[in-house]
Amino acid sequence: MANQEIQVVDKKELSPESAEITRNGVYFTPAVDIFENSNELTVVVDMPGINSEDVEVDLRENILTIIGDTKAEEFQGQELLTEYRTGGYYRTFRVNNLIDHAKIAASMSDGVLTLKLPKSEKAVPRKIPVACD
Amino acid sequence: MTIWEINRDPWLGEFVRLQKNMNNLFSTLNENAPSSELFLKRGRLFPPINVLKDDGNYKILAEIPGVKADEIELSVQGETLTIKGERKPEILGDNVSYHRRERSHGSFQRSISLPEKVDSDKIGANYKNGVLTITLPLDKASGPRRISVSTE
Repeated sequence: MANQEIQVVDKKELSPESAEITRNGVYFTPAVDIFENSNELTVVVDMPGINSEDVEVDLRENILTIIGDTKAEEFQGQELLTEYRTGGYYRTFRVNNLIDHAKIAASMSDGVLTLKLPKSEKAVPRKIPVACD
Repeated sequence: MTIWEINRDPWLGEFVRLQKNMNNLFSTLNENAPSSELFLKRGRLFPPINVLKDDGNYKILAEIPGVKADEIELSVQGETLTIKGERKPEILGDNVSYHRRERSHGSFQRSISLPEKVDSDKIGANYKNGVLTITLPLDKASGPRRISVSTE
C-alpha cells in the first residue's frame, strides 16, 4: 500500500443536466472521500487552487452543497503545455443520517476541504463557516 | 462540386474526408474556446502540469492537493526538473466504513525536461492551496548570440 503509485484522474466537467448552478465559468466535479464512524460522518474534498474564503458549504433539508469558486488569473505569456484545466468545483450530496447542524466543522488545508458532520437527533438548517488552517 | 462526381474516384473521396476533417478543426477553432478538450494534451503522469512561458521565465504549475509543502521534493539536474513526493492516505480509527473513495493516494515522481537552459540558482517554488508553482528564470548567458560574418 505504501509504495503504491498515485494515479492521474482527469477532471470531469459538470454536465449541463446535473448542474443547477447559475454562475459563469467552468465547474468540475471534485474527487471525494466519505467515511463514517459511530459518531460522525467525514467528507474530504480535493479542491486544488481554491482559497478557503471562496469555499461555500451549505446543508439544508439534508442536501449538502459544496462550492469552490476560483478567480481566473490572467497570465501574460505563452502556454506551452496544458494537462489540466482550472475552474471551480461543485458537488452536492444527500445526507441520510441526522446530523447535528450546530457542530459541523469545516477546514481547508493544502487544497483539501475536510468536513466533519457529527451525528445527532435534530436537524435544523444552518450555514457552515469555513475555517482556514 | 456535387457528391456523385467525387464518389466515382477513390482518391477524390480521400480528399473529401480530409476537407471534412479540416473544416471540423477550423470550426472548433472558431468557437473561441482555447481550453476545449481538443487542445488538452493528456499526460498520464502525476501530478498533471501546466507549463507557461513569459519574458525570461518558465512557470510550471502542478495540482498536488493534500500534500504538505515540506514533503514535496524538488530537484534540478542539468536540464531536468524532478518533482517527487507522496500523498498519504487518511488516518482512520476503528469502526470506520467508506461510502465513497475517489481520492487516490500513493507516491509520485515526475521529471520534466526543460527546452532551454535555466538559471538553477534562481529557481523558486511556492505551494499554495494544493497548487505547486515553480518559477524558472532562463539563463541569459546561454541565450542566442549574434555572430557577425566577416568578409575578406
